[in-house]
Amino acid sequence: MFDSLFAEARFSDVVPLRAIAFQVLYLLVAIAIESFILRQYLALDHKVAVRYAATLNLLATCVGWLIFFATEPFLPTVAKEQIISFVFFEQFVPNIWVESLSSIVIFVSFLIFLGTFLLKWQGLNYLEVLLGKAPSQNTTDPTKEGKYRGWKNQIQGIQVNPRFNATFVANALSFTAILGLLFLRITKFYPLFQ
Amino acid sequence: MLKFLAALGIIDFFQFLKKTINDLLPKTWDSWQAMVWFSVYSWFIAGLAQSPETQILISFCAWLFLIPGLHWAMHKEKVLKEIVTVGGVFLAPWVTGALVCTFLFGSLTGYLTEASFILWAPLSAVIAALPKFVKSGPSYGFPDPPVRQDLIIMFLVNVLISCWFQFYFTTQSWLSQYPSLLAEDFSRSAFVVRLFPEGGQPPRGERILEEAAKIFERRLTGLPWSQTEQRLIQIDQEMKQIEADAIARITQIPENNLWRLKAQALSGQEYLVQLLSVWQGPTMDGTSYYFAKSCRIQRQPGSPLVDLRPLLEQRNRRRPVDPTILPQLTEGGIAQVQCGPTEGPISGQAPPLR
Repeated sequence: MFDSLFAEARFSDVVPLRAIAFQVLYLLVAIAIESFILRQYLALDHKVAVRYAATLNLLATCVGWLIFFATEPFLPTVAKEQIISFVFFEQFVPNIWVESLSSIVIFVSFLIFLGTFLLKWQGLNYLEVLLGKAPSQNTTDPTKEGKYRGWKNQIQGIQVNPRFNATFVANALSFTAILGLLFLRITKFYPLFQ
Repeated sequence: MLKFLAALGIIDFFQFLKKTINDLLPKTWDSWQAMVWFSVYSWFIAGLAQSPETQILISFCAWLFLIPGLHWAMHKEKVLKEIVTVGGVFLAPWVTGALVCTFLFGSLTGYLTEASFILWAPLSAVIAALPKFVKSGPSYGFPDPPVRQDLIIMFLVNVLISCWFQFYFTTQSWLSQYPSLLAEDFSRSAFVVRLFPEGGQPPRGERILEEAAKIFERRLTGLPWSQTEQRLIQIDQEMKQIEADAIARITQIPENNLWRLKAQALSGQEYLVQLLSVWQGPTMDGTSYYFAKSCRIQRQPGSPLVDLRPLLEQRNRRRPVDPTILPQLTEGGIAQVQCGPTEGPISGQAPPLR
């Protein structure tokens, strides 16, 4: 990743403008949905909720890109050729990986979902610390109150944690919306009803 | 006369020019004009300098004057301020950031590096954020929470822009590793667009096939006819060797693994061999394509030049001549190879091989 940083910049007329346009679209959709959920669950001001959602989604996007750039040079050639084929032609090449590809895609998507959720949840905690806001009162401290509760209540205590809940629902809904958009794009090339 | 000139706006123009020049001249030593003029002066002196070391040193100083000078100017001059404000956003830090990146990762390294593009946005965000950390007094401290929130978003947006630049350079490196992809149509991609769709580049299969045909020709020409037939029977093994030799002669890039050389003897005619270079990598529509070249192998009457054969064999095949073949050389004539032009790219699966 870093050895090419100081190489001479190469240019061609193949520019990732569509990636940028789609990313902006997905970010706007995700921010709109997530700010609504955050506002409902955390009783936030509308402006604050939009800013929180924007921060969390931008953070998740940037971390995602950085993970991609960090792992890409170490991928085996077959995987790299699949990625290249997908980026340039939106389909996979019939090489030895094509059999296991759908399970890999599903597994990676699941990891991405889990990763973004954890990142947004922790990101929200750190964001509130960074903005000098005390953790809100409705956050239950399970270690402290666990003494006086049965295990059932303890689990409920975690479930009630509003930030955990809010980010989980927000993340799930925005992923669903973006998947829907991706699906619309795919059906353009592979019509369901012919 | 004056009225006429005034009507044409010429007097206004000269007055504007005079005012502009006046504005550009430094009034005091501690002004942005002075900084910029120092910089211009340094460039001038750097141009006069003889040794490259002195030139680099002086132009280094010129950059050190130019960057703060222009940054200052964009904050002070109303006209410049309006120019660099787009949609209510004051973009002066991004202009300064671009200058700093050109200086650090372009001027000092001698060529524009990828770093100068990738670091431009985050660096500019830092430049834009710095004044927010200065409080009246002056003292330093963290800004208020609402400002902090805006700074976090601004910084993340700039990191995202930097990721887009990095992605652009990633695709460029892919295209330099797999240059035959440049012959494809990217209209289906969800990631990239091609700005000038006509400006394609031929796939490298053609060049590989030319090399292969040359090697094939040289390996068979002048060979005793019985041996030629033997080689044509085992043409798959022959092609493996030719493929390795042909690929060794072109630029070594990862794409080479995706080109396969194949050969088939066309039925009906005696020894018309078709050489194919088949692309096994990604394509726009998922179907592969290939280049083809026909070579005619004819039996030439006459015996091979016995005294030249050992030399030819050694040069081409890098192994000593087997003395037992020498008696065969005089009977049956020799092979002569003639290859036609390259056809293709032909879309579709390569014709099935024997």
